[in-house]
Amino acid sequence: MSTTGTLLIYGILGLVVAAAMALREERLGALRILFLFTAGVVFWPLFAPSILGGSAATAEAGGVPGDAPIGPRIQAGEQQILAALAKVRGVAEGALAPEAARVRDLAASLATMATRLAEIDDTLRAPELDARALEARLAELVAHGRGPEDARVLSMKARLGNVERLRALRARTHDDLERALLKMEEITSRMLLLKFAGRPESEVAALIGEIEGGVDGVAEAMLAVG
Amino acid sequence: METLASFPAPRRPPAHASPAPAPAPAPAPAPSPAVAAVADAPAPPAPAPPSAPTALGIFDLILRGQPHLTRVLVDERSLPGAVQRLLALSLLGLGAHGLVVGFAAQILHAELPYLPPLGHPALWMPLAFVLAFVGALCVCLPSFWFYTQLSGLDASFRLVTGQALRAQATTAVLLLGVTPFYAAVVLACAAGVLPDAPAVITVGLATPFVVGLYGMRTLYKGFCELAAVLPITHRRRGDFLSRMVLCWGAVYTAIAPVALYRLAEAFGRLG
Repeated sequence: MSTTGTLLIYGILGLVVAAAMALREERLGALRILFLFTAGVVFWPLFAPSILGGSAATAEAGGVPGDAPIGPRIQAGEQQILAALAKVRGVAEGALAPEAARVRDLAASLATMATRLAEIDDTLRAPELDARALEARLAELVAHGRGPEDARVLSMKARLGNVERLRALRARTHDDLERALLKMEEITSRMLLLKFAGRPESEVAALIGEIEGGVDGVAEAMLAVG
Repeated sequence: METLASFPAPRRPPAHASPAPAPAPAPAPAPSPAVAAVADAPAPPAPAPPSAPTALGIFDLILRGQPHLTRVLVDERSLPGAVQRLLALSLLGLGAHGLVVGFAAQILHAELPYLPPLGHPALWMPLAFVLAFVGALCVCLPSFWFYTQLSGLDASFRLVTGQALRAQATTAVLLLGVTPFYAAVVLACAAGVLPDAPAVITVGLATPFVVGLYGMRTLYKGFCELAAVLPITHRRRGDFLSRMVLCWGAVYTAIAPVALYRLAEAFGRLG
């Protein structure tokens, strides 16, 4: 393909990207259109990732960008810890057998927490809890001369405060889930260590007790928060 | 051995924030909707989402607020706007420096041994600078993303683009600061104080690469901050971030000069 042909295709792709960028803009001035179409046509590889990427629904809902899906992680953590338990069974079968049931309970608690997180996300997506809309309405009220003591302004501020509280609660719940999942992974590695430690039965039993306490602690904390 | 006590336990919500469940051994039931439960709770400090900066705001962030710029780039809502502004800043800095280098080549009538006749460089040099440096960035983006993934950081292509433009914009802002000094050197050369005109032009052409080292440093620090936020797909031993940034720099430094040379050659032929 000749240079002209390559440039033509490059330019067409650039026009498509520039048009998509322009369509996404809420307000378009002449200068903005000029910039979008000039920079967009020439440097479209820089803009294409933004256009092709998914919507920022998670972020809009107050979610943390880069949140990995929790459900599959809980399932994977449960499977891993059960597999690790099965591997050490030969060493301390009697002590570890009830732990499998405990691990399943713990995974169920974590799943409940994940459901709670999803509920909070759903709630945050509700139009009445749209922080941007609330802020816009508050700004509109202030622009119309409503003072800080005005009942509408106070109501709007209270609703914004509730949104902030809900976001904070969501962040806390997510942190707690993350911490519990990390703890599960840590316990899994300890289980695997048991297989290769080559320690006497008494030391293994002590370690099992510690793991048991760990599972109990996380489960209790989950129940308290859930 | 590390115990569970050493691992911070999940925090309990305020007592009146949600109904306390009965201490049953079974898993807790699905909680009730949270809005009503938390409505009366005291507002805890919540991190506010970073607002999308304006064009002047991004200039300020590059100079004085790099950690805040990291938060802006991580936030999916503000990233597209930030990318546009970082690009605009990059074009401005590179274009301004290219204009001064072009004028220098024009008024000093320097014949560079490694380039064909330049024609009217004041006209095309800004364009060549912009196309070479930002174009090289476009070409390198897939490699950048690849190196980032190899290092174990699960950064999206958008975030990699933002990081690359951040380094470029930082370089461009510093170029805006350096260019007046370079203009003074050019004027001194035009006045006969400095005899070696080709050397002055060569310094102008090389300045973005030298200043770009600071952009690399910014890139490294940005990735250090991102490493605490981004998911890690696999752990790497040693200072993998510096190796990754070196890879970024190596591939970019290999492509940008060639692009600049070829564009100068082509534009010089056009006159």
